[in-house]
Amino acid sequence: MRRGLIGLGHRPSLASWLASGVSGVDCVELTAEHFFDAPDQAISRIGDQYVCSVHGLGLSLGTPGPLDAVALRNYARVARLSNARWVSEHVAFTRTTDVDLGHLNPVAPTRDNLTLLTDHVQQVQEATTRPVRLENITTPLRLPGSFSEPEFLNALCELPNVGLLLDVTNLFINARTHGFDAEDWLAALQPGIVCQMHIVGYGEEHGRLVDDHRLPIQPALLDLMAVAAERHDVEAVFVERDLDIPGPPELAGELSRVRQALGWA
Amino acid sequence: MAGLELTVALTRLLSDRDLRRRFAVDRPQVATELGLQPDDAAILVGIDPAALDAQARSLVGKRRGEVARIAPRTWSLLGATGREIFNEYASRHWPEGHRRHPHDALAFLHFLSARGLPYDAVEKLRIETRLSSMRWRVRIVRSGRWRLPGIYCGWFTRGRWKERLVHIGPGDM
Repeated sequence: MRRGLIGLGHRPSLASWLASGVSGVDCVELTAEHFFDAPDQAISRIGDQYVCSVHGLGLSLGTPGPLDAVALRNYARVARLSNARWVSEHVAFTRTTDVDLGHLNPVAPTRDNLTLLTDHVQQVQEATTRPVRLENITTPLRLPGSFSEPEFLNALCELPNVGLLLDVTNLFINARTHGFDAEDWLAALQPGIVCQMHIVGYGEEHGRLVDDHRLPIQPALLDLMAVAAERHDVEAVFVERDLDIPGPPELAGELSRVRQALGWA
Repeated sequence: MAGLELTVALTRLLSDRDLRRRFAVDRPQVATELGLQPDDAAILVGIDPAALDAQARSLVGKRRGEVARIAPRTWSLLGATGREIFNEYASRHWPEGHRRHPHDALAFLHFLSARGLPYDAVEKLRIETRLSSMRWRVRIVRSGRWRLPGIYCGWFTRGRWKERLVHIGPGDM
């Protein structure tokens, strides 16, 4: 098992701390949409300091029809200016021509959707000229189709320079919500397709687990992450806090716990 | 084309409470109404209405969380009724684009204003200003418990907005 990089999701409240150059943060993940209106220099400055991955929320790869050309151009601009090593998006849709739902929704695991997503991933690769990482989402809604979720992800990751961005927390929540074994799900993935991982603590609302990105990482998540890392050659792990973001000492502690759990210390 | 038209149908279901209610009662009927091909209809009919509703609630919940983060004082003014009022608003308004969260917050404050419901005028002014192409703005605004006037000054410098609010007289700003 190689030692990959460990980093953080870049957030406005962390910007000055990260700009000071933080040892222990090997890489940062820039949410593309947060930088669409940012000046060129602000983006390239981050790229000068850290290895970057550019993460999309709104390309809506699962929407029928062509990708939004403006969104794709802006996304590619952030990747270029930050000199991103990778780009990533979700296996999901967020809108159609009728309505912009604004957040991630599952796509049915059908052959036609596989073709659609493959076409869109290739467009992203062409626009950014970077390896693409695809992320599994969490949802209470399971759609029937011709593939299981791991089969669908395996098929998508057969494309050259495409790998899985495994969201460990999403997998954990889905396993609890839908009553399956997360390790069985992991075992159904093709060896080596997990290139990156996301991890953050899960929340609980009315007895259900939710991905509110608010809490420290729970030990069960660290264990699941370690299982995945043993089976795949993981290049980077990102801790992605969005709410109640703690101060630098606590965040550094989170990164250190992740490093230890992976045996990368 | 199994799955493609289904995505469009799902979007309609996730954005339309009344359609979801009818779906829960008669799934094949709604699949027919949506004009789905047999393969797509079969997938749609296999969906658990409760899970669909949970996904729709999750979408609105994420929007509500963002709006509460952007306009916390307004959210506080609404108290326990905020959730229900937001749900009513959110089922009819779907903001677009990468600045959808501030647009959502502003549209919600307009919605409250149009219905004579409480909102924080400074927050409305702040969101309007930040979404505009202005470089600076000075306005007299009434806010706080006593609706006392204050002078709001906002200016854009070094890639970010700076603001000052000078309140005239006593009261909670």
